Formats: sequence, structure tokens, C-alpha cells
Amino acid sequence: MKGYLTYFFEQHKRMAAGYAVMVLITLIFAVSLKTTTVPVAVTILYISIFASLSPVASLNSDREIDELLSLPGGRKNLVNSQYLNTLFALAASVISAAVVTLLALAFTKGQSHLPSLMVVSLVISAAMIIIALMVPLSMVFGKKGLLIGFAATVFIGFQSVIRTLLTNGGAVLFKLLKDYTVGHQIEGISVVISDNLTMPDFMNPLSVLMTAGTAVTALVSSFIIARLVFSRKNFRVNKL
Amino acid sequence: MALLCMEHASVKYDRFNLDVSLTVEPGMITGLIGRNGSGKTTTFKAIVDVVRAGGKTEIFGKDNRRLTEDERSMIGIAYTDIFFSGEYKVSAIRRILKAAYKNFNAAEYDRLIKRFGIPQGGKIRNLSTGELAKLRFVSAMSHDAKLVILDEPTSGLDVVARDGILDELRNYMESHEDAAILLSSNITQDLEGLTDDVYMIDEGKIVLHENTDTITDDYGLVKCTEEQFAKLDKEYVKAVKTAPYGRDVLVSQKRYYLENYPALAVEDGTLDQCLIVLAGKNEEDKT
Repeated sequence: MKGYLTYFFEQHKRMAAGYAVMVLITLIFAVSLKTTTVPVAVTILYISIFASLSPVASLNSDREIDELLSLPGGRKNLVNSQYLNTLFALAASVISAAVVTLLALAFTKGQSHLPSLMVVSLVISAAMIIIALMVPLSMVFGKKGLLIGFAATVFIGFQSVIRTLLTNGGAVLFKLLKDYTVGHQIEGISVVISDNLTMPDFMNPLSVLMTAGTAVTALVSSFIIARLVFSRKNFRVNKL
Repeated sequence: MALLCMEHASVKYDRFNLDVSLTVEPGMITGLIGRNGSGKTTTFKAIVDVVRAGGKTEIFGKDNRRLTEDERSMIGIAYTDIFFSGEYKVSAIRRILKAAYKNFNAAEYDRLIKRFGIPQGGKIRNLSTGELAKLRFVSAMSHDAKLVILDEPTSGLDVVARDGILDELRNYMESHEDAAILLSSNITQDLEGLTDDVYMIDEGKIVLHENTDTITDDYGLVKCTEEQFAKLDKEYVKAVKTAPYGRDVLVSQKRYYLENYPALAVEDGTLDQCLIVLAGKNEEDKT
């Protein structure tokens, strides 16, 4: 285990150095802006997204996996590696979803669509936990676990996109329609939308951005975890 | 007790089946030779359970899948094409090996690194082919392993470096009397002067197992026409391969043929000849 942990550390230490630099930049921004909320939130988001990329970085080639298997820990190295990567991906996904929610709260204080955004983020976080658990499940149940993981990943990815499109795509269309029709008199047709019509809460551009951000985070996380589930390592663990 | 014992260790791929039986005794250097793709690397991977094999594979008298981490750390292995990611710094290898192997000998590692002039700065991917081969070798030889497995350790090396590797292997056996080395090489001259025992593998099967001295002292290659071959005593014939002039006949008692067939050309046995005739015979059998 000690050998594997050293291997893992050597593999990820550059990324850790990147995090340290980001934290430093955050401190500089926080001091110069005299506020900590935004820089800290952005940094946590950055770190969590890149931490979730670490499993991709460690999707070793067959040759490296062979080397890992040849070290004294043998097969345990591979299993430990998958569990550690799962832990990273899981933590990163949950943190990024939570940070998006916090950012939304910070920017859109007091607006009525907030619960909807929070629900989206929480659903995504929960889904990420389920998906991430597919890695150890696939190690225990083999191909069935992989299939379930894949199905869950696809489902979560698509539901995020569809939800974003339904919520915000509709809102954008509504706004375009309103901008086009108000003040225009089309021959034979009366104006259908009153000038007094106000934009619904969910059409707030910041809301659109936040929900889109959540969906992108979810998609990236889903992709990363899917890669993890379908990695060569996982197949090799099952094969052995 | 044999340090390594394989009995019908079998691996099945789409177009290749391995079925190997071999034994490595303590105090001996055992060679494994064969053509490219004959199954040497797969055999090595099967030994340390990197590739799961059927049949029986025992290391230190124990099933290779049941070895503890401490027992596995008594194996030193270097493959020809497998190593840590090229993104690792060369200096990181020392730290990983030190953490992974409880018997890691830092002084020996440093000595070998210095002897072979392996640069410690920079990344693995920036090493030359020769430097990488030497680093793999050093990694396998620096934790006082009881069983050392080397897949073509001299591949890609110049003659000076090759000599250095062979020299280190001899020294290792002198200082580790209970240890054993199993190695493969395409440069069979290296094995002739180094190994005690040789296995020849072709198409996943062991086609010859012999003491190295027996091959160099007793084996021979009889070159004869079809007519001469028809009259040849086949008692000591190991394999026959078609040649432009008739037949190349690998025999296990060259003196018998030198004495009884003075008209025939009988060359001294070499590992190369054994391999050419045995592998050539296999090719002919297929056609």
C-alpha cells in the first residue's frame, strides 16, 4: 500500500502544485477585492473540477497498469487505484455541484427560482454519488455493474441537458418572441403580447448561466466517471 | 525447492495459446529464448500474475496468486516494454521503489545508476532507449530479489552497456547464492556465456529444455543432402529443417556423427542454430 500511495502521489503531485497556486491567486484576489466569497467559490470550483479530472489523468495505458500490477501490492494496487480515483471523482463532483449552488445563492439572493436551482444541484450531487459507486460495484459485479453505471451516467447527463433546455431554452424563446412582437403591428393581426408583460424569474440571465453551469459540471463529471467506470483499469480488475 | 515452477501455465488469446512448463532452481541463471511473439513476455507476465494463467505457477513453493506483499517484494522484474509513465521524473522511481520494496537497497541503486550513467534530472520519456533499458534493469536489481526476471535486459544497448549488464548479473549471482535469474534475450551469444539452463519457446510451447553447456558442447548441426539424410542414423536427431542443399539436422550428439559420418559437415551447436532449426521445423509442419 505504501508503494502504491507513493506511486499515486508522484502521479498527482503536479496537480496538487496547481491547486496551491490557485489558492495563492485566490488570496491575492480576496485581499485586493476586499471580499472572499467570489474568489473562494471560484477556486473551490476550479479545484473540484480539476480534481475530478485526476481519474482521467490516471487512466493508465496497459503498459503502466502492468507495471502497477508488477509492484509488490499486485492486484491490490489496481483496486486501490480505482477506489482512490472514485473517491476523488465523487468528492469533486459533489463539491462542484455544491459550489454552483452557493454561487447561485450569492448572486441571485431573494429570487423565487432559487429552490429550483438548488434542487438541480442536489439531484446532480446525489446522482454523482450513485454513479461513482458504480466503480466499486463494477469491480464486484463485473460487466453488469458497468452497464448499470453507464446507464446511470447517460441518464444523468441527458436529464441535466434536457432540464436546462426546458427551463432556460423556453425562457429564451419567450423573451425573443416578446422582443419581436411588442410594439409591432402586423397587418390583420393584433398584438398578442402586452407591453406590460414582465420577464418571469427563471428568465434572469444569471439564472440561465448558473443552471447551464450546473448542467455543464454535471456533464463533465458524468463523462469523467463514465471514463473511470470504463477505464482499462476497471476492465483489468474484472479480468483478473 | 525450485524458486519458480510452472506446470502447463496457459494463457489463451484470440490467435495465440501459451502452454508453458518450466522450473527455475536457486543458484542458477535460466534463459528463455524464442522468436518475436513466441510467448516470452506473456510467460513473464503470467509468472507475476499480470496476465492470469491457467495451470500451475508456484513461486517460492506457493501459488503465485497467494503471495503476500512481502513475498512479492522478493521478486525483481523488468519487462522490455513496460515501465512507469513517461511523465514521471527519473528521480521519482527511486522514491517509488523505496516505498514499494521493503528490501530496497538504496546504496546499490545509486551505485548502478552511477555505473550506467543514467541521468537523474528530467522525465522518463526524455531518456534514450538505452538509458531506459538500463533504468529498468537497475529497478529490478536493487532490492536483493530472490527471483529476478528480466525480459530482454540487453535489448537496445551498445556492446559496452551489454557487457556491463552481463557483468552485473554474474556479480549478483556471486553475492546472492540462493537467488535465481530468469531472463530472455534475442542476443543468444549473451545467454551462451551466462546461463546454466535454457528453455526454448515457440508458438507458446516449450520446444527444448537443455543445460547450456550441453548445447554448446554436445549439440551440433549436421548439413546434408536428401540422400545423405535418408541414410542418417536418427537416434540423436532433435529436429530437422529443410535447407537449399537438403536438410539441416539438429543433433544432440555431434561427436557420434563426426565419427560415423566423416563426409558430412557437422557444425558446433549454438543457441541460434537450435532456434533456427526448431522454429523452422514448426513453420514447415504448419505448411
